[in-house]
Amino acid sequence: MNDTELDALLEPPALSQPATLADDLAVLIEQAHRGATSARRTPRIVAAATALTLVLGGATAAAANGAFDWSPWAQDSPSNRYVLPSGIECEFRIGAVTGSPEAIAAAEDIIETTDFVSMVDVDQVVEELKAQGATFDGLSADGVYNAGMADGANSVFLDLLAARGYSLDDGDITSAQMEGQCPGLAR
Amino acid sequence: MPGPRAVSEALTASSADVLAYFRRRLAPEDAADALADLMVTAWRREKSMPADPLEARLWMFGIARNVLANAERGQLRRTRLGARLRATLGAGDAAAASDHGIEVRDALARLDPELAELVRLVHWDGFAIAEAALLLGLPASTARGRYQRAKQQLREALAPATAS
Repeated sequence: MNDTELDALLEPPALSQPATLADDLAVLIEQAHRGATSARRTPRIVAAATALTLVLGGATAAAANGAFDWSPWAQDSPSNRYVLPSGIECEFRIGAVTGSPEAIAAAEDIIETTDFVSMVDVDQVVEELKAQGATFDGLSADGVYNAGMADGANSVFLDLLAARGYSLDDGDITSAQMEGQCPGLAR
Repeated sequence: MPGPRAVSEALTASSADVLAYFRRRLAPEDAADALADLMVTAWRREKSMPADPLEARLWMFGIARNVLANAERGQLRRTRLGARLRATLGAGDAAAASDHGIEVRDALARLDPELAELVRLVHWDGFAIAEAALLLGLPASTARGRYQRAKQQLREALAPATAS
């Protein structure tokens, strides 16, 4: 088989072209804009903040209260904003990745282009954590939600890295950090 | 820094191609939700969108790769955003997908996943090998070598089927 014959076989599958497709896409662009901006309100800067440091590969997140500036690595990292059940707005950033140059490049691309918040089903993550024996005694609904978001974002990050062939187990990635702020959230 | 108008223009320019990318890899109803996810992500990440239209297109497809990976994890959410497009795509794609050569799809599926995706990006999505290399995070020379290897494997896999 020559190249021309093979190229002909590799022609893309035919796709139907509905008459309303262009209109549907235009509507979706606008709806997505509204959807994105409605969940992206500017976070309030108040005295109490919560920092989350996520340990890659585990579900543990250490929280500390008090206002703080973003760590140097997080200053320019993309912001991931979400709203707790109480209405408190939170934000986390992922970065400070160490490992092989190729894995770091892949991780940085994922961090830059992934909407982690939309990819995490917090309720499902919390249920899974409970099924694994995790307890959330003493945590408010906000605290439980926060733990689910942190663990879910961690999983999404690791899964997307794995989809590109990089993993913790293989030593491609040796560490990464997540830092978050939830103004007004008491631990 | 690109503003909302630039994002809107970039989405308008790329959305049909990105939708085709999803439709060729996912079920029709999932493709609609994947595109909705991509658009929301693009708007949220507007500050990081390159100003150059060609780079913006590659940036969109970089997001698309992540959305696709998430969909393949079974984590795609049914959203109201995708409902209208989901209805439009409806049954049309089911018929189209079944028409496409099963042998070719099977041969692609038997390739190493990275080789298969490289071939799909070039032949299905119209990317130059160097652009596909950028999307896959590969040096262009590596991508060219893999592309040739993939085509050789496809040639061998498809030869008996087409000869019969």
